[in-house]
Amino acid sequence: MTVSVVLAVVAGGLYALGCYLITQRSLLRIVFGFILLSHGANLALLTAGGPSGEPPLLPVSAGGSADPLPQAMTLTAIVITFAMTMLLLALAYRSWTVFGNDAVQDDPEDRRIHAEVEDHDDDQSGPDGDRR
Amino acid sequence: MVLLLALHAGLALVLPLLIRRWGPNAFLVAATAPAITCIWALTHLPHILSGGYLAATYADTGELGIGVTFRIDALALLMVLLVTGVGSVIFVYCRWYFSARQPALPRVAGILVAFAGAMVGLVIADNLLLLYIFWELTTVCSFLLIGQADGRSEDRTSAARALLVTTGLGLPMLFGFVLLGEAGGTYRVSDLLAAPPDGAAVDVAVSLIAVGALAKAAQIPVHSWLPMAMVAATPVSAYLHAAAMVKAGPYLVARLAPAFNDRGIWQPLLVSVGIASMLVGARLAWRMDDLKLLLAYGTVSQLGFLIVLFASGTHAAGLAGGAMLLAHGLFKAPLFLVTGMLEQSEGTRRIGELAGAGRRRPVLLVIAAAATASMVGLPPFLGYVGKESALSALSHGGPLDLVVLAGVAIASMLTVAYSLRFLLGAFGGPVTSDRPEEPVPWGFALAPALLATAGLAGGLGAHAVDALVAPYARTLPGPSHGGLALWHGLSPTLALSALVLTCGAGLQLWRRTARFAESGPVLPDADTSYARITGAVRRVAAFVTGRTQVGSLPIYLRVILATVLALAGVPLLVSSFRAVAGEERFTAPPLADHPIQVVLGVVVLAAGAGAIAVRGRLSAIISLSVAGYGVGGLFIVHGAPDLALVTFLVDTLTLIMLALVLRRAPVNPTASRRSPAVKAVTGGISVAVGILVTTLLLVGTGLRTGRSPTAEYLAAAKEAGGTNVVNLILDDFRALDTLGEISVLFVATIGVVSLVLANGSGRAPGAVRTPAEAAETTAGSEGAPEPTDTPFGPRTLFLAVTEGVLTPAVLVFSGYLLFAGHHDAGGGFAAGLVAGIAFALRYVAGGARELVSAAPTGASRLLGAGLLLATLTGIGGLFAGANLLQHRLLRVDVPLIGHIEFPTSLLFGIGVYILVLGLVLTLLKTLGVRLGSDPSDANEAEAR
Repeated sequence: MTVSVVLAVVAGGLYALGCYLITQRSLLRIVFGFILLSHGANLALLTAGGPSGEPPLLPVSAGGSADPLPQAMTLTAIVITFAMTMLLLALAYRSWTVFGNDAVQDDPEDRRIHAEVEDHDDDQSGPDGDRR
Repeated sequence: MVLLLALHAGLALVLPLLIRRWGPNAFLVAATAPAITCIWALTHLPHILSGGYLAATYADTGELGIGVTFRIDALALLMVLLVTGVGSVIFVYCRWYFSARQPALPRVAGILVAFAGAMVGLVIADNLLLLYIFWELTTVCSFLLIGQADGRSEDRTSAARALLVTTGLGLPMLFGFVLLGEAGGTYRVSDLLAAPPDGAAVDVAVSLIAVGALAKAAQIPVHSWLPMAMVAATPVSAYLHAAAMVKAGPYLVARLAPAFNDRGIWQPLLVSVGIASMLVGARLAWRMDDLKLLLAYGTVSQLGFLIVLFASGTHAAGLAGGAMLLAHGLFKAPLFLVTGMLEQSEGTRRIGELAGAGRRRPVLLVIAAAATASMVGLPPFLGYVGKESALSALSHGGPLDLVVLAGVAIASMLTVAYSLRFLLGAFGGPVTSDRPEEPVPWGFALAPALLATAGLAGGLGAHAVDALVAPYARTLPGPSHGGLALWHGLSPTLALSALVLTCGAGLQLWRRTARFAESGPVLPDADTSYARITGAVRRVAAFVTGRTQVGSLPIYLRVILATVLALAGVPLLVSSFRAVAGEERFTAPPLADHPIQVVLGVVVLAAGAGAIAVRGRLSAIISLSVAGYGVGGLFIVHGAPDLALVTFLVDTLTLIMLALVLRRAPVNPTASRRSPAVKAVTGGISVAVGILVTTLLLVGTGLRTGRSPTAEYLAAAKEAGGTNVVNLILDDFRALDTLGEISVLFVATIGVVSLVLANGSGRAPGAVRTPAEAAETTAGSEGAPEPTDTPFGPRTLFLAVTEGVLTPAVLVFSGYLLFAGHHDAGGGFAAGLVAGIAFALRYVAGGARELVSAAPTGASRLLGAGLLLATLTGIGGLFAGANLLQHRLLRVDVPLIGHIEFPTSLLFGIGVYILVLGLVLTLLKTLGVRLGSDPSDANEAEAR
């Protein structure tokens, strides 16, 4: 009931690389990060299911096969990841056509509230702060 | 019972359409829902009044406690009759009140019916949580009804206040319900009442429930939402006040009183707030100039009275409460309806502006006078019967009850005063204007007349009302004091009633006190504190948002990752130490299952790191795909050939799509402007996440004690007649999961299509040009793509010939994979991807024209057909007498060909195949063809 160290390290490494990429500003690099992250997740899902073994094709020899259930789940996960990657790409494309560059925009609403609170603080600290 | 609710719900949906077609006449159709419910309830009247009840359970989740269970006993029946009886009359009134010109009318009508249905559901629900759901449904409906008219900001404020106050204080009530349900071990109201649980939790629970009931009944200090809700249309107000929404508060008190009256602060809280609301409400009603506001504050007062009576928890008080509940519905509704008619004919509802209406509208005057008589408690109206028995019930208690009695008596005098003010203000005065007499439509006046007559009939037939209310009152302790009757003989109560009437009339008729009514000091209300609380919440929200939400996605992601590290990392560290220390049964992991794993691992990580390090985007996507292939290799070593196959295919398609989309990426990749410190933090967090995942996998799997279900699946596969267990799981054992997953694919594809094909993209001025555009500008019109060009340049003969040979072979291979999937590596997903790759090859080598001529039919049609086929196969299982998505093996002996085994799960697999093929084709058409011929480019080309 245990995985090999190599698989665990590879899964962890893919997570690290993916996380590094998705925290960047470039949309394209976020898509790349998403792809690496999902490779890591698929690998982790599969290895969490148990040790390696023979392919789960009947008849299985005495050595036993790998657990088929995580394989089935991972299989659909891979296909869904593909669809999601394409959706992300389409989103990135949309952002390119609207904003003309490849950067993740700051949320304007958050920015506005942030600025409002800053203004409010300035007024409070001023001599006429009580008027508000 | 659920049919009746469904009738309301269905009518609520259909009614807007009917209103659009027939105008307000459709309200007569709407009246059928409550009317049918009312008649249905009447047919069960004898059974229930003889002590029986109707119960029905439609779904019961058992341990979760959420059950759709209904129960109609005497109290519920009383409420149902009130809600549906008054409701159907008000719907008839709506027919004349509303004109077809109001644009919001269809919506209002639908919501009003839904409101009636929710109220019926509330009173017949036998499960605390179900009751809560209906409770909040009425709140939401009333919110929509109050805020509907013309979208004025005043309306929206009122609606928001009603919503915030009742749901805000409904939350403690929900908490109380949960406490009560957990203490009693059941959420069934009838079970809880039959065997009330004990303990401190119950004391807290009932107090919290009392708070929710008080808020719903608009008691002080949160009463102001109800008068503010007067901006709603008059029939809505009438229904809200007389039968629905606010009546839920007293109903809940009445429902729980028999079992929980002596628990916690239930009784002291309810009685004291009730008395205070009676006094404050009546005082405020007395000074109002607006007739609707006067009635609204009157409702606050009357509801306080009801709550006092039900919370008193004696047999006699229960009788009086039931009678007053009916009486209030029967006098408040006609008063509102008459006010609405006055406002329509006179153009105002202010006492100061109305004059002489009584002479011109004698019919209305008679109706209003009858209703008012019931309100002040004049014999022989039902109001008198209720008030008389209430005074009698309260006068038989201890000294504390006498205080309550005094409060009720004073509030009743004020009630008499404001009732007189209403009647004289609305109808009194000489005729000043020479407005022509308009006959009132008979149906219009019939509605309030019916209700007012019912109030009179209830008084004359007090013994019938007694029979209706008595079964509930008998669940409460104490003597009945003779029950409900018009004449109890000469008693102190009668004297008190007479005193109340005289003093009340005097208060209004004697000029000095009457002037005091209008200009005297006003008692404080919660208006200012409500404003202060909402203002403070808004300020705190802005402060917190401003301080924590800087708006930058990378920062948010870093915070999220750091939180994961802190929350998951710490417990993980603890258990790793325990594992290493040998406290748990920990199996040490092997370094590698096979030497090749190490090689593949190094390739994957190196390629992944390469994707970060390289500057060129094309090099990056090639690195990515190397990493993907490496992962596929790891899958093979692990014993998962199906996964490896799908990974290779997906990786290839991803590479193609990325390359296609890169054509449109802006040429200036955003330069990394991050400081070294930020980079270090990001790098640190990322590495920590990686370590977390590695440790989690090693420790988690090492500590695992559960048995793998492998053997069960292998056995089940043998039974199902297949050998590829993974595909059997996908298509058969867990086909419902797969159905969900392909639905996700379907939706994601629609998302891609809508994002790419969306019109009006409106490129920002000064936007950076894409490489394709830049090339076009330099090369002039020669650069415009020819229809026969491939996405990556002109056709090359070599590629074109190769794909011509390969495509058919690849398609045949995909068919093989599809059918082999039952026994060998393959299956619907892999086969669909392979077929998709065949078309991708065709597109890459031959361009858009080749793709269109090669594609079998519309890509979107394939998507839909695949999902449809998979779903139909699943439903087919139902008709074959099995479960949804349950497959079977069909064995057929065909002459000449021989024995054929055909698993129905293959049909499901074909559905998946078609859907995946449709997905890839759609992507090729959008991300490929469409991006290759961007409409904005075409416009620019024309401009040149």
